[in-house]
Order: sequence, then C-alpha cells, then structure tokens
Amino acid sequence: MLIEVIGGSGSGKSEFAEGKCMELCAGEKIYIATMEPYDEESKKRVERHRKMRAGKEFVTMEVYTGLEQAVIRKGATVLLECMSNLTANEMYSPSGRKEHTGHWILKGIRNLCSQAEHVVVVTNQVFSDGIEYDRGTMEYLQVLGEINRQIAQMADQVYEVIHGIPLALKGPDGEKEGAGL
Amino acid sequence: MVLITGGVYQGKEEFAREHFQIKTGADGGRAKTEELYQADLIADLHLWIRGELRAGRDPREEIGKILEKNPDVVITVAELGCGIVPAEAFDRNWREVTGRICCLLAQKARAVYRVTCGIGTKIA
Repeated sequence: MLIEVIGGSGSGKSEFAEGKCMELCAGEKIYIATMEPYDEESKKRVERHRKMRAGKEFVTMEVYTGLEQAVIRKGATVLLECMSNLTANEMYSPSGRKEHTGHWILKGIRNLCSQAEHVVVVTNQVFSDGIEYDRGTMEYLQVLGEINRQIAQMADQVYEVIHGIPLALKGPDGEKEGAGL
Repeated sequence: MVLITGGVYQGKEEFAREHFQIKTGADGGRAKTEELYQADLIADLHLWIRGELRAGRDPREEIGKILEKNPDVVITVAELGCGIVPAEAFDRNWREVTGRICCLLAQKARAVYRVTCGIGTKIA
C-alpha cells in the first residue's frame, strides 16, 4: 500500500503519517529521513522529530539523495519524510542528480514500493502563497508539484492534513477522484 | 460556470480537461479579454487579473461581462492568499483583488472544486 500525506508547515502531517504507519505495522518500521542537518535549527528540528517517534519502533535510515538505490528490509513498513527535502537535495546538493530530478525521485518511490509492504510519503503544501519567485524556485515548485501528483496517482490513499485534521482526498475513507461529479 | 481552484502546479487544468467538455481554452496569461467571452475553459484567471491591473483596468467590472457572455465557462484560478503579505504594493493589490473575485465566482458557480496533488474535491 502506498499512502501520500500532504500538509503545510506545522499542520500535524508527520504525526498523522506516523499514526498511519503504526496502524499498518505493529512492529519495527523504517523511517527514511531526508533532511541533512546542517545547522542548529535543522538539528533541533531533527531532534524534535526523533522525540516524536520515540517508542513507536522506527529505525531511522538517512537518505539524502539516490532513493532509487536504497535497499530496505523486504516487507517493511516505511515512512519517508519528506518529499520537499528530498527534491531539494536532488536538485541542489552536490550529490544530487540536478537534472530530471522528478524522474529519479519517482523511480526511488517505485524502488521502495517494490521492496516494502507499505510506504507512507510525507510531502509539503507550499503552492498557495501567490508569490512569483525567481526562476529557480518556480522550477522547484513545478518539480515538487509534479512529483506530488504522480505519487497521488500511484497511491492507494491520499490525505491532506490541516491543523491535525486529515482530509481523505483519495482512498477508502475518502471520495474518489473527481468527487461529486 | 464552474470554478476550479488550488495551489500552483496542482494539475487544475488537467482536472478541468478530464472532467468537463473543453474544446477551446484561453490562457489567462496571454489571451485577449474578447477570447474569454467564448472559450470553454479560462485557465489561470489570476494571470488575466494581473494583466488587467497592469494595464490600469478594473477586472471586477470586466468579469461580470465575461460571465454574462459565457455563463457555462469552466475557470481555473490559483489560490494566492496563503502566504506572507507581498512586499510590492502591486502584488498586494493583485492578491486581494484575485481573492475577492474568487469569492464572487464561488458564489455564482454551479460547482467549485479544489485540486490538490491532481485530485479534485468538490467544496461547493
């Protein structure tokens, strides 16, 4: 099963995604961390997320780039957090692909799905501020938007989390695509 | 009229083309206002609004005329209002005017959809 969870900053999307993983798998799960802790702020953020996961039986695996090569335990339940970091890493970090990043990341997702039993992907709602950024940033938004859409198409369930409240956009609890037509 | 809203790069236009009969489309960033009178789809209405404001015209007046001449049109527009107040006065006004026009359109629309990750949810 593939689940996509989207939400804004501080929306409670991580906690919701962790909860989904707990429902899917009572035992040991894999947490794929994508944020390279490069300064104090990001270290604190990583620490906060680690505390949140404590006691939930997640084994952390760091993947900053090259998700298409990741090898995980067969049949595992995997939480990947988050797509916005992974995309930025592939586009801008020295070890990133820099080009055709969408293609490589989607290949990475398929790679995970081919090994794992359940994959939950967390991504970011960063598309509604109406700001016309520089070309590089607009390109990043376009690539991330495309990745999010492709994953949603592949996914069994898609949720948008707002203030900790999950809205089911696709899946068993939600209306199907093209709802109400 | 049907209104389809959502953030940028969410697949709003694809959603419109998939679910509604669209033969002719007008790109809000490029089309002349006259083209909006007859197109089945007006894509990126927020860009048309920006163009009108740049040209010193009031899009609020013109939008009424568009709906009058083209009552069955499907309109896509980007949500612009969920960020920090823009530094430029023009952008602040654009964001505000677009938001107000969307409220008006949502009231008049026979259906309103919000598209996230390519998935449309009927919100009104």
